Amino acid sequence: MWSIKPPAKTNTPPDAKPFTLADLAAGQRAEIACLECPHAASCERLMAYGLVQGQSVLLVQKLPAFVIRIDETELALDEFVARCIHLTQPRA
Amino acid sequence: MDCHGSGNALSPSDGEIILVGNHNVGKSVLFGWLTGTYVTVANYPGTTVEITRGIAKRDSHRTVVDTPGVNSLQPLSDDERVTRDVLLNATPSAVVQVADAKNLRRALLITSQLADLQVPLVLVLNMTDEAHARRIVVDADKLAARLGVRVISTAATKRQGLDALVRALDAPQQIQPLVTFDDEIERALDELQEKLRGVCLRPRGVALNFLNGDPASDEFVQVRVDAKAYVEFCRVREQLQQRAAVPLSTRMQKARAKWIDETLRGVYATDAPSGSPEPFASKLGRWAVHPVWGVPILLLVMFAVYEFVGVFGAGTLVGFIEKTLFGEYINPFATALVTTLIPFQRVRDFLVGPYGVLTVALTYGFAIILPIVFTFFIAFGILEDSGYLPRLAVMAHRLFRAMGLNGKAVLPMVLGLGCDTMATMTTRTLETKKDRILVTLLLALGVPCSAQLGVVLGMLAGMDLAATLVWSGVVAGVLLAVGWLAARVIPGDTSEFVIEIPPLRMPQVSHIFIKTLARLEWYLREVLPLFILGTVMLFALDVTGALAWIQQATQPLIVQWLGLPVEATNAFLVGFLRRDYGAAGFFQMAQDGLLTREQIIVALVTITLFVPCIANFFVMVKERGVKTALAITAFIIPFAFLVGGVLNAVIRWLG
Ligand SMILES: Nc1nc2c(ncn2[C@@H]2O[C@H](COP(=O)(O)OP(=O)(O)OP(=O)(O)O)[C@@H](O)[C@H]2O)c(=O)[nH]1
Ligand SMILES: [Mg+2]
Repeated sequence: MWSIKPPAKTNTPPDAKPFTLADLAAGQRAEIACLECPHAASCERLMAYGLVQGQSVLLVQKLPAFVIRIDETELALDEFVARCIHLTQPRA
Repeated sequence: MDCHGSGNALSPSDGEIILVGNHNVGKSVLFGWLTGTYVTVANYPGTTVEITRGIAKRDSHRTVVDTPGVNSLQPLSDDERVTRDVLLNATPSAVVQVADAKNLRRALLITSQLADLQVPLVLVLNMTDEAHARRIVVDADKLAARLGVRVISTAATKRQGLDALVRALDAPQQIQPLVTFDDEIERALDELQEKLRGVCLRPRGVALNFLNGDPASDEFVQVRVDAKAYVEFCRVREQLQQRAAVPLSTRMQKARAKWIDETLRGVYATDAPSGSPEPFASKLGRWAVHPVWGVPILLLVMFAVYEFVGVFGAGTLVGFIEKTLFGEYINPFATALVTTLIPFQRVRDFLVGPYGVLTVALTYGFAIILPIVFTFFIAFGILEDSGYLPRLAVMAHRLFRAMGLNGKAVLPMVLGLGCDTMATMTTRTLETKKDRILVTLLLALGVPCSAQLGVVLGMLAGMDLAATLVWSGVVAGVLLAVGWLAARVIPGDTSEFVIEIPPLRMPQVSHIFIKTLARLEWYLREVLPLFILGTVMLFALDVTGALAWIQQATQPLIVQWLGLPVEATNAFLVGFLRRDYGAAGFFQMAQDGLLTREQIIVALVTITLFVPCIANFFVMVKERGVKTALAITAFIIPFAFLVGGVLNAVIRWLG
């Protein structure tokens, strides 16, 4: 496991579970902190879709698959991939 | 889904115009406009999986090349690799990068990679109509200044901005490297580039790909430099890769992302007032993947297709054309004509006998299957262009995951309903070998193609709902079971599920018309001859007495095991050429009252599970290799009979 960049400004202490797209509620928006995928290739694919650090993502729904919106791109992904997308905690 | 094969494989030549870009941005629309030849255009990512070449309409000296869409020129799947290889090896007069103006960020990743290849480039910002509707503004002049190449705004489907593109093609500017990587990478690049200069055309691009450990570039370098230099190359790469925790390719992509951010500043802006009402198409698109509303929408779509293809096409149209047109006019007339004109009984039989080219091959081809594929092509074209298919993939994702496949595999499977042969080629968009083999197997096993599905629906429409449920239940159950098992037997990983959902778009009537015509032409050119071949084969077997012998020999299988009348043997024989032709044989037998309801169900299930057609077999060989293709076929044919026989036994046992 490796990360693209240490999470920029997460409010979580280092030992806490990271806050990922899978933890976001449907309809919420958050910024991407970093991507953590088991393979570099997976990360690069996501980056090519525009999932880069600092990008804001909107989680549209979680079932039957995760659907997210980044700018004008709509992507469907499964939970496994959603867990690779680490976010900065949305301000309450 | 057209089984065109690679008909226009003109050899690569200098001075081509190469179209590249992200998926679903309009490359094939532009190709059609530039060349006047139609290639499939549809609203889902991965329509084009092969290189297509055509002659430019306005300048017959130039070839235009359509390529599969890519997310990045650092390929992650086979279709992307195809595009990258074209770019590395060609000496184009112009590369036209087609971009979706709405998604400029994603396009610029490719632009930055093209810059490393230093090709003559024109950037097309397409879909400006959609960008405009969403109040996205792109400053094309500023962007052109930053990139150092021409930037043309177009709306390809509305024919806007295309003249400017043609003018820009006359003198494209060569793009220069735009992204500077960290010192370490740049130093290594310089070192390799120095050695590659004079050896190949695009030293920086090749060096970059080589450093990334891309196997194709590795080979490229190995054949071009001597052994000592190659060792040196590998040393540079290893040093670079060992020193950092983060893979090199990711470091590079990060540098590109930073450059993209800077480039977009002041170039791309949205001024959509927040809280503006969501357009209806967008709402509908959201409902179509909704966990609750998505289901009734899916059922409605299926019902509409069934009504149009099964009831209207296979019922009404076939009824009229087959019974009235062919049954009462054409065939009696042809028979009378042949009988009076031709004195030889053999020749008469050849034309209008029980295995006659006119009375069987052409009647099946024109009167039964043509009306069905015609209606199916229309329905399918509408589905393709609307953007519903990727949404279907999202809805079916869970089911597919249970099978060990992910939702991305849905798209090739659904395309298989059009043509299994083409769909087998579309498996290139899947990332892992395991997924590609699995989908190839399932397509060949149980996804009926348009012609066959139409015939089956036509027969089922004439029966009751229970028959339809048994047929679809058994076929779906077999697909699920085989998929589930095969996913556990075939080694390897399944790919992760990431799929792009394009916006819903209103299908254009004119486009559906062109697409349907193109597909009908394919049908007449490639399918009909096979029907004739099959009939001639049956005729030959019949006159030589071999048919009677085969019927005798296979009697235990067809009559005892499957419980079908002996004539069914003929349908299975032609089924080896095309399973829809076999199905059409059953259609005829059912009409002649030769089959009971139970027999129809058994026959339909068995023929659905057959290998689709000869063409499909050859494409399996091409895509998966001889061994896999043979293994799949050797599994499918006995398996189809096994399932048919078990079903027959179960039906009998239930009474
Ligand atoms: N609104 C709008 N739609 C467009 C435009 N250009 C293309 N389209 C539509 O976009 C979809 C994709 O077009 P294609 O030409 O198949 O795209 P492609 O780039 O060849 O896609 P792949 O082969 O999948 O890589 C089709 O539904 C087109 O009708 C445009 O300028 N405006
Ligand atoms: Mg295309």
